[in-house]
Amino acid sequence: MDRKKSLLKYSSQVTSIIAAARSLVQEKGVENFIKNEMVHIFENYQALETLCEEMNCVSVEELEQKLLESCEDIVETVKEFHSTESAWNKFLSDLDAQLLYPEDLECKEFKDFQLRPLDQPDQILKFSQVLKSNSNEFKWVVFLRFAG
Amino acid sequence: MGGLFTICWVTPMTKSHSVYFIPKGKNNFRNFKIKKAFDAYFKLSCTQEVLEKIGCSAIFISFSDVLFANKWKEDVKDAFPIYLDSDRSLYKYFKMQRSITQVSSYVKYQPSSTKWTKAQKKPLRYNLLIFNHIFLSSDLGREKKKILRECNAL
Repeated sequence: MDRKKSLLKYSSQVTSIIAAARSLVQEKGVENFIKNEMVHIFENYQALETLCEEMNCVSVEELEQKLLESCEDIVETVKEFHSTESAWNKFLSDLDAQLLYPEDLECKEFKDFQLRPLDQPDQILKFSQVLKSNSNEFKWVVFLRFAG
Repeated sequence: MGGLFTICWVTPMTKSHSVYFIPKGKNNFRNFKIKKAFDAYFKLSCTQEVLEKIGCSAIFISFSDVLFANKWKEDVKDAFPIYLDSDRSLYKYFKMQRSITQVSSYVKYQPSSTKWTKAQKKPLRYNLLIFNHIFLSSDLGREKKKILRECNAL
């Protein structure tokens, strides 16, 4: 498949993903979307990976570089790619604008928040217990985030 | 447990590494750009020994379900204990920013820190992760700070 076709296909895929996701967010709300429909966000990566493969690139950086060096006959298509990128970023920032935390959590004592150890998910521990779980004076907490 | 909370977060996608020092009870974050640190996780692994020396240990908190957290654990062969906080209560408490944009960038997170090629198995989508390191301290002594600086943890 030539570059131009690949780029146009990618652009059209992303446009469809955005439309489907926007419709889901409107219908069910952003929290539901994050909980159940993040697969739509992943689809964008799938499309991008396919584009990288078709363009013989091993990374997105390389893809960007190749696009910058593209010959004139696909200049318009490259513009289309960047416009797709902008549309995607706009879509994500619109979602971000809807992500709010409820105010009632502000006064809570963080030591009392409840956590479940991954190896014993039925067990519930207070964060204060986790902090005291060994003799170390400090804890370094790392949050793993898969969605917004 | 008082004084200074140091929150360090990394967005693998933007390859930026920021550390926030939060005076207790205040929300005015001061942002210190340290250096491009795509590999905070690896740094954390490498410095585990150093952290232990100063009496600090690391724990991971995942908002996702057991499946995703286990997948992460298997893939990175993580030695740190992982806890689940599906309500994100702790995350919310610290008023950490929510953002789909930050977990959905075009740049891939590469667990092996080497570029993957077409012949290799593609990595899982850890570009959808953000690591937020919270270092809890009442008062870091000068000596401890020196050790942390030496391993670029501060």
